[in-house]
Amino acid sequence: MTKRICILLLMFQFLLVTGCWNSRELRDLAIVVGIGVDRIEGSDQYRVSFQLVNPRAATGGKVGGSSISEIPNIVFTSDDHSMFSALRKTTQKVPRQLFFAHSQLLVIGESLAKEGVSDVLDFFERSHEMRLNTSVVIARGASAESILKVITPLSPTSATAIIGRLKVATDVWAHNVNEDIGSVIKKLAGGGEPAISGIRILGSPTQGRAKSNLDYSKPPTILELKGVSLFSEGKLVGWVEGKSARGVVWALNQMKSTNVSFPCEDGEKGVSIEVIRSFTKIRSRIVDGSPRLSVKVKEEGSLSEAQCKVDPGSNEDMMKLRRHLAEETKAEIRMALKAAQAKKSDIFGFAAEVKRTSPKYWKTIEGDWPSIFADCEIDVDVEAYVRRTGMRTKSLMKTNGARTSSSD
Amino acid sequence: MRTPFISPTQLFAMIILFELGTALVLPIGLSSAQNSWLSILLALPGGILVYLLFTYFNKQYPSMILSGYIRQIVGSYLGWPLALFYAVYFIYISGRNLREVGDLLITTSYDQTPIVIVHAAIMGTSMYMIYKGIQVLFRLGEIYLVFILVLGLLSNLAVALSGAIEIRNLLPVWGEGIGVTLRSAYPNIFLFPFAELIAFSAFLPYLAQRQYARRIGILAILVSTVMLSITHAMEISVIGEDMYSRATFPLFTAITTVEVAEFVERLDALVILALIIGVFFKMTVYAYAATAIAADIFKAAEPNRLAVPIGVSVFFVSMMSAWSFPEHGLEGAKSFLTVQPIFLVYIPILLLLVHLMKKRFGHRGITSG
Amino acid sequence: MFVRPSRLQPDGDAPGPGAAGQRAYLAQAPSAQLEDNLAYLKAELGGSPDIVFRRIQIGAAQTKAAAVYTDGITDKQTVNEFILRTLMLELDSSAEPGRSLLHDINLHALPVGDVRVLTDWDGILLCLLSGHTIIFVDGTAEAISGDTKGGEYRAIEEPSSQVVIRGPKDGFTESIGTNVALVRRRLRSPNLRLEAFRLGAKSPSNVAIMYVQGIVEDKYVLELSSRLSRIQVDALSGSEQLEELLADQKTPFPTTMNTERPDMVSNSLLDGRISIFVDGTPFVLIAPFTFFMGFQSAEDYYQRPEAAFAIMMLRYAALIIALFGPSIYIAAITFHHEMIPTPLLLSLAAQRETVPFPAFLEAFLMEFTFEVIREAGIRMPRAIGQAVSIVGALVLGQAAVEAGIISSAMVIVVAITGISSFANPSYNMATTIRIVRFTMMVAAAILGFYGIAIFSLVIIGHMCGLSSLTVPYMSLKFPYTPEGERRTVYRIPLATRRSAERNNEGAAVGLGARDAALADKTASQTEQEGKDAQ
Repeated sequence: MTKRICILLLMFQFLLVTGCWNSRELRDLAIVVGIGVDRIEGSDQYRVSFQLVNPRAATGGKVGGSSISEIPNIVFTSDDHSMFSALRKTTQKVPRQLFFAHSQLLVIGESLAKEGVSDVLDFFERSHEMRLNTSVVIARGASAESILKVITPLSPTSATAIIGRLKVATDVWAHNVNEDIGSVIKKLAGGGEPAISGIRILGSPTQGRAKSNLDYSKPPTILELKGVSLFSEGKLVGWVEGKSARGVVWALNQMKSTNVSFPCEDGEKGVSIEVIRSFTKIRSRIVDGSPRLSVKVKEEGSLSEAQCKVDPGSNEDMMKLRRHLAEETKAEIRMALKAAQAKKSDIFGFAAEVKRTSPKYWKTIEGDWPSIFADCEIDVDVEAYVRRTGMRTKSLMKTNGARTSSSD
Repeated sequence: MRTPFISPTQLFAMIILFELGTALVLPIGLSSAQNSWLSILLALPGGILVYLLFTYFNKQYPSMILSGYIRQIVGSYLGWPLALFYAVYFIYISGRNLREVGDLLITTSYDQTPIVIVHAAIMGTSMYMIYKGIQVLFRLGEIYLVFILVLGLLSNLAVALSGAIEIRNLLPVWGEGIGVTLRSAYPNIFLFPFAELIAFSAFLPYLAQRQYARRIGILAILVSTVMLSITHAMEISVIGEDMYSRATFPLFTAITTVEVAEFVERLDALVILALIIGVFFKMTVYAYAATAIAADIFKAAEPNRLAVPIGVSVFFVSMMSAWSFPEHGLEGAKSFLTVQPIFLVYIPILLLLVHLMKKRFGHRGITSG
Repeated sequence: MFVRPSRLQPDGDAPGPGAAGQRAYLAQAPSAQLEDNLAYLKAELGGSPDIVFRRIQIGAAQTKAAAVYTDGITDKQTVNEFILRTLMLELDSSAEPGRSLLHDINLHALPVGDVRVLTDWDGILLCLLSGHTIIFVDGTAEAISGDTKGGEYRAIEEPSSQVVIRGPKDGFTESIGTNVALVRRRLRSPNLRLEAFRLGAKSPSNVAIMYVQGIVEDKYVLELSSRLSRIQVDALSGSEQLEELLADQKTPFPTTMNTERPDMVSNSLLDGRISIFVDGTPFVLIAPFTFFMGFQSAEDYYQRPEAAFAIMMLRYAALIIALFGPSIYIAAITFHHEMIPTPLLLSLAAQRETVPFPAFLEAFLMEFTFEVIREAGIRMPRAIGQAVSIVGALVLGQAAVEAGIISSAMVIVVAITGISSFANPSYNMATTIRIVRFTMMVAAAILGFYGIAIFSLVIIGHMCGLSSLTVPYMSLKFPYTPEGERRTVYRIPLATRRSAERNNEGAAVGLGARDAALADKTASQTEQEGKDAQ
């Protein structure tokens, strides 16, 4: 028994002496929430920016009764040839160990995106700390670094601010997509192209860096999501915006909810329909040795605003609404498809679909897909329903369109 | 020593744990990435046949383990070294399993921790269980089966709820053709994890209700196959064929993408836990099989005492078998084509043939020796 | 040099005459001279003042005699009324002095239940020291003893360690006789068996085992009897010591159950278990004991099955928290930061900014302090105990957090763990869990979740290797019926409960006895059932 205890103690000692290898105290970690990657002009180095969060400031923590007035958001940058060495280089500047498992956002500089993003992504895929569900955006007209440096209201870091925007706007406005690293990689590897939202700075980037940015009720510098990228062969080739961006969202089956409005028959005032459910299928089949692609949308909406006379009691009016909704949807999807085809950018995942349904055919055309896609004929088929009319039936105004709204 | 006995439920639990072991987490059936879930199902009949072969031997030689009837069938001179080879082979496979769990742990979260410690911790536990004997090991298996099932249910539920499953990723069903799917089923998946059931030849003599051995075993193989197949189908449908075929640990990658209600994130720990448990039982079963054979051929009075030497050998094999994890994988793939089939398929079939011949042409062979 | 335990008569209370003296100086029998006997006895007991020697003259012949009893453990009224009074006033014997006088006394003059004729000093001493009154008659080399046990005992009170809201409120006392009676009152079955043992060479204690013949498997009774007979101790301080002596293996886990509640004993007996009574302790042991049985409370039988099931699940959840709570916290905040949702991680990080200790040390300190407060609270007089908890709660909870020495998350973890460990119905299991929790914390600090997983394997592996009276410790199936499993894992409705009859001998009685036990609450019903049981 004594012998056994001795052995146990020895083992215990041994474990203690050699220490706790992977054990890291929270206060020794710098929690990275956003990563930005830029290509330095005229060089082959990357500029990697890390946005750290200062937990005390971020949570409004109190220590010893005194509250802290620090900026919750710190950005460090390093230049190097590879992501990993830039990362390690940064440790010279940061007093703590960078910790990536909570990074939520990857911002890619527009110049880098134009050269191709696959090289950068290998690191994110290989590292065990990175999450594949980190969202990706592309900085438009600014460097990724400057995007991360902007101090934003209502959220501790610009990364979380962008994430919030991505989530909410994608869900209710649907003019942008919330793409994560995992699906970017999946698409790049599977023959398609990623569709990534753009983000830009409104106002002065230098002013946005200062805490004074928060001193205004309307901050002078803010971030805004704008457009969806078009990639071709892994490189950024253009953007779609506005209605065609929404068409992309529709075609990607990422439509959760949006607002479609169209004018009344008699004038400039309009009717708004809130799309509340939408389901998109994309299909392909091979006809006479060339692919025939189709997009099928089934959507449901409810009347959310009518500034002219709409009578939900009349079957005719409701059918009209349905028709308008379907046509509008169809038009937007067509715009998106056209824009993408013009840039030979298959962001819709048709490639994967062809590969799935006709693997043999895919083998023969694998390399030429972008140009084949550009010439493909794509059918768009929309089935729309308007199910509800909100809290009221008839509109407030009977004859002329005074402003009315019905809440829903 | 009291004869230990294993209840049918315990055998059932252990076979499932053994089959799931590493196969749950590692990519299996390398060549047919997209259809590996189908290949798994295709390899099932082979697995059942292997199991039936060993239950047949068990019926013929009820009180003997593998090394016992090898010597009965081919005689002591040939049988003794052959049995020794089996012991060595089991030690090697046990070491490989240990290496796999060690490498997953080090790649995923223990990158600073020396491999010695990671391996020693699990090997120590394994040795303790071997020392305690198979009755205790099988009781433990029964408890941990429940645990694994709950774990599996939870993680599958989380994956399903997160909406990450895209069934269309599984299309086309036959992928690059039935040929590729079959080729990955035989020999790859057939050998690993099905033919590996040979290790259970060391336990069959201890079964309490022997009449159930066949039924329970086949049921366990069926259940574990379905579980494996579903898991791999889930992996492919979540991360897609391309990433699946490139991932070192696909299940791990698939689980990391899960996010439910913005709170349940990073369920990797569940995967690691599943692997630790699965591998623990698998390598312990192998190590015990090696111990039992060694005890049998060296006529050791107390097989439990061999736990330490066998465990230490497994430990060193696990550390020294390969310099890097890719090399480890390569070694595995190569040995599937060369060494392993000899142990797992050819020798057992030869044994069966010799046995049948002896049985037909005179009973002299069986009684002597 | 020890008194070999021997089987006694089933009343289990009095030492039997078969206990042959083995000490050389005691081997002699009493002499025929009264004074010699008294002098010898006085010398043997060191002239203790609590031994009362009452010299009397009895019978028509006014023969000299003496009654000897131990003050304090005898019932004075019985001694006065039924021994002294009858001997002195009512014995009317015309027989000659000598043997037949003793005979007369035995037959006519001792209106007490248990009377023995003793011929050796060993028996005489044992009887005397367990509360009998010994009568020596001059000219007779024998003594006669009458059972006058009594004296002050704690009354039957509500058990303090296992409280139920609804259910019987009586608890065992320090008297083995009372304890046996409490169980027998519940189990009116003729198949209820009691076997008595005497353990302890220097100070023999009465030990009794009780079981229901026909329900219990004989092998367990045989195993337990043989283990009891093999035990060699000087003195038995209580059932705790016996628990250790009866264990199958050396282990920190309890392998027998102890209870203060007669209803738990009778329920266990009906499940085919054996209970062990030790004189001098209110804790009765129950074996075989399995791990999952430790999570059943007496309360479970007094609630709706659904409620009992839900509460049992709650207890298992509490077990998991009590075992793993701090270690999971340590592992998560030092190894697996990625598992914590980001907002929670930020808030934890903010709290821990000022904490000077590593997480493990912080957790260890807090857990340690908690255990100290708890221990102090238990041992202190009740009034001071409250002060201890106030100091603990205020100073440690409030001040340490405000000073930034301890993070408030840690306080929450420790508090949840502490409360969870109180949810365990079995106190000695809870103690073991505390020990395991601390070791688990070390494992977590060294290897994170991997350490927890590995250490759990070791612990559960260890538990799988345990047995209690040869029953596997982790078994769900005791008794070995499908119903046994259901009863252990969740409480099945009583209406569907059937007895686990073992053999034909006991088959007839099992059900009746069980019903009798279950219907204990209503007196009228019990009457009827009692008759049935006969």
